[in-house]
Amino acid sequence: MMLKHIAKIALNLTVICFFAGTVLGLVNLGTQKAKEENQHKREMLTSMSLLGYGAGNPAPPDLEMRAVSRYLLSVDGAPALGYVLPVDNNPVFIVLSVEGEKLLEIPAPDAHQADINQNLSSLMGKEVSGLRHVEDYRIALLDGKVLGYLIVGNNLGFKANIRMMISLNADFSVRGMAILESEEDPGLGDEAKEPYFRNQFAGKSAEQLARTGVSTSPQPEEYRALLEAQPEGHFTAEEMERLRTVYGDSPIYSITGSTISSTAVTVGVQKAVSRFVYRLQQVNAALAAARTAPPAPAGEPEEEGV
Amino acid sequence: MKKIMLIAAMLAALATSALAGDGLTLKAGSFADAHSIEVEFLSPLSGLEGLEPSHWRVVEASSPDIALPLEKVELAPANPNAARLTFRQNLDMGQPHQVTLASPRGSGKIEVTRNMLAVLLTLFLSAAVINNYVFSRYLGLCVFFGVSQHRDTAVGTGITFTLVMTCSGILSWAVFQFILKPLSLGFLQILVFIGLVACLVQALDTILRKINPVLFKKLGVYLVLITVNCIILAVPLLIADRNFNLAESFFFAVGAGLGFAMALYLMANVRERLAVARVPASFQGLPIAFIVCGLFALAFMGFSGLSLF
Amino acid sequence: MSGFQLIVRGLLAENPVFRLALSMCPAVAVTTNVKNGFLLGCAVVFVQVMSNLTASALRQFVHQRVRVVIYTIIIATWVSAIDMIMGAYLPDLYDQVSLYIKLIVVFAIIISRMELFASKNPLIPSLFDGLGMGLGFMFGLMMIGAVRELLGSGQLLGFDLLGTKPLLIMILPAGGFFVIGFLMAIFNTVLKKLGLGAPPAGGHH
Repeated sequence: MMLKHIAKIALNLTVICFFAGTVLGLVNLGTQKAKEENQHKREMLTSMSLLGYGAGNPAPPDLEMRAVSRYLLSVDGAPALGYVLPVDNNPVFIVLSVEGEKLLEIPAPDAHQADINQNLSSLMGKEVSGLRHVEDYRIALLDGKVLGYLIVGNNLGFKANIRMMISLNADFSVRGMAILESEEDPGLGDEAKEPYFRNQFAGKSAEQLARTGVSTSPQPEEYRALLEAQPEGHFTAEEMERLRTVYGDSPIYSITGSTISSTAVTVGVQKAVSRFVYRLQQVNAALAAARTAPPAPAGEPEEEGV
Repeated sequence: MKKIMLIAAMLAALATSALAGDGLTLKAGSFADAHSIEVEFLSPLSGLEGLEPSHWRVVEASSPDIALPLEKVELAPANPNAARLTFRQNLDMGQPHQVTLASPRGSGKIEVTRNMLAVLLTLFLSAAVINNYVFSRYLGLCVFFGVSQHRDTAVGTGITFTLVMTCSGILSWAVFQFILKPLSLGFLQILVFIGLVACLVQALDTILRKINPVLFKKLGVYLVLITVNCIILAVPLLIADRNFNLAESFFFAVGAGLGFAMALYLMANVRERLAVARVPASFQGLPIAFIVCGLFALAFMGFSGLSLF
Repeated sequence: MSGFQLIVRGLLAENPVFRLALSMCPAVAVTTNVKNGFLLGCAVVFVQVMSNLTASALRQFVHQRVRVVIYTIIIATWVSAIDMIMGAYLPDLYDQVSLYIKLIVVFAIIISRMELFASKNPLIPSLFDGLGMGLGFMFGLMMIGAVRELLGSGQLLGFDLLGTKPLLIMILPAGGFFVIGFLMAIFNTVLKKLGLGAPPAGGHH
C-alpha cells in the first residue's frame, strides 16, 4: 500500500537524521574543547620556544606573562587607540589620540561595564563608538624585569595569509621568529618554516631589521651552518653575538624559487616589529605624563584584563 | 544679454579661483600598483608645490596611528589631474587606506580601497587558470578521466558542471551565511552541502526535462555524473572556508566551472589522438591519461604568480 | 570468502587506487609524503568501516527507494566526525589535508561497497570488507607518497635519504600525475604476470 511505503520511507529518513544529528552533535561537543585546548597548548609551546625555553630548558616557575591589548575606537568621529596595560597589579585602560596624546586613563575594570561605548563617552565627555579589540602584545617578565616581548605579525604570502610570531629581547632586537599559519607550497614557500630561513631574523637589532632587504643571492654556507646549528633557534650567547655582529647587516636570503613568500615574511616581520616598537614608545610617553587616574573604588572586584 | 551673462559667469569663476588660491580638491584615489596610490584631483595639476611627502598622511584603516613611509610624490603618467604617491614598502591592498592632505594649496581626506571588479576578476582568473581545479588542485579527477575521451562529451559535461557549480555555489553561500554560521552549525557543512547539491541536481533534472527537452537530451546524462563528485562539493566547502561574499562566490564558482570545462576540452583533444596512437599495453587507458595530465599540469604551472589586476 | 581473503582482494586485485581508478582526487593531492597518505588512508578506513557497519546493521530496515539518500547521510556523518576528530587532535597534520578529508564523502568506492556488500551481509564480514578496501586505499596512497617523497624531497618519513638535490616537481601536482600513471602501469604489468587479469573497466567515479 502506498501509505505504508511512504510511512516507512519517512520513518527511515527520520531515524537516519536523528542518528546523524546525535553522532555529529556528540563528536562536535567532544572535539570543540579538545581543539581549543590543543590550539592554546601549541601557541604556548611556540611562545616558550621563542623565549628560549624547551624540553631541555624548561621555563622557570617565576616567569610571568602579561598582555598589552590594543583596541581601536572612534572619538568624536576621529580614530583613536585604546590600550589595556598591565601596570603593576592594576591593569589600566588608556585612550590615546592618533598623535599620541592621552585622552583618558582609568583602571581597566572600570572600562569593562555593560555598554562600554556609553560609559567611555560619559567619562571623556566626547562621543565614543566602535570600540573593538585588535590584537595582543605579550610581555615576558622574569624577576620583575622584562625578559622579552612576543608579537604576532601577518602578511599576504604567495597563496594565503601568513601569520608569524616574533620574539624580541628587552632592547627590541630579534630573538627569533616562528611561522604560525601558512598555506604555501611545500618545498617552496613552506620552507619559511625551516631553520635556515626563519633563524635569519635572529640577532638583528630593531634598526638593522628595519633596514634589511631580501636578497636572491645564495645564502653563504657558513651562515647556513650557523643557523642550522640550533634548529629551534635556541642560540647560545656566543652564537647570538656572532649573528648580531657578523650577519646583523646581511640581507634576508630568500628561499630558492620563492622570492614572493620570502619577501612577504620579511615585510610582515618588519611591519610587526616597527609598529610594536612605535606603539610601545607612544604608550610609555603617554603614561609618563602626569598620571591622573582615580584610585579604584573600594570593594570593586579585581578583574584581570578585559 | 546672454553674452553679458556668460562673460559675467566666467569672470566670477576666475575671481573665485583666484581668491581661493590654486585650491586643490581631492576627488578619489586608487591603488596604482603594489606600492603606490594614485590620487585624483578635481582640476589639472600645474605642479607639485605643496604636494611634497611631508604634506601627506596615509594610514591603513586598522592602524590609524602608523603613518606609512611615503618615498616620493610625482605627477601621474597618464592623468593630468592626478598625482602618484610611491611608498617604500608594499601596500596591504586588502585594507582600506585613508589619505589626508594638509597643504597650503588645499586639504582633504579620501579613502582608497581596492577596485571590486579587479578583486572579482582576479578571483575568477585564479579559480579558472592559476589554481585550475584539475591541474593544480587535483579535483574532479573522478569524472575527468571518464568523460574526457571524446570532445563532445567533454564540452557537454563542462557546460553542465559550470551551470550546476554556479548555482550550488550561490545556494551554499546563502545557506552558510544565513543558517549555518549564525547558529554555529558549521560542523554540519559536509552533510548540508551534499544534500544541497543532490537536491539541486534533482531539481535541475526535473526543470530541464519539462522546459527544454532538447537540451535535456543533450546534457541530461551528465547531470547524473555530477552528484557524487569531488569538484562539485569542493566549491561550497572552499567558499565557506574563505568566507566570501555573494559576488566573490559567484565569480569563484563560475571560474572553477569554466576552468574545469577548459581542462576537459584540452584533455579530450589529446585523448582522441591517443586512442589511435601506439601506446604500450601496460600504459593503455588510464596510465597514459595520467601522464598526459601531468604534462598539462606542468604547463599550467606557468600561470602561477600571474596577476593582471 | 574469509576475512583475510576479503582484505587481500581489496589490496591487490581490486585495489581502489590502481585498478578501479576510483576516488583519484586525494591520491594526487595528499600524497606529497608518506605521512599525509597514511593520514588520509586512516580516515578512509575509518569512514569505510563505520559506514559498512552502519549499513549492515540497518540492512533490514532501510527502504529500497531511499537507500542512496540514507547511505549518503551515513557517509557524510562519519566523514564529518573524522574531520572534527582529526582537526582537534592532530591539527598540524590536519591542516595540509583538511579539504581532502572532507571530500571523502564523495568517494564512490564507499557507497558502492555499502551497496554491493554491506547491505547484504552481516556485521563481521562487512567489517572485513571495509577494512580490506580501506587498507588497499591506504596502501596505494602510501606507495605514491613514498615515491613522491623520496624523489621530491629526498626524505622518507622525514629522514633524509638521498644525498643529491631532489626533484621538486615530484611534490607538485604534475609530478603526482606522473607517478600515478607510472605506478598504474607497473601494477598492470605485475598483476598480469601474476595472472590476475585485466583491470575492471576503470575511469568512472
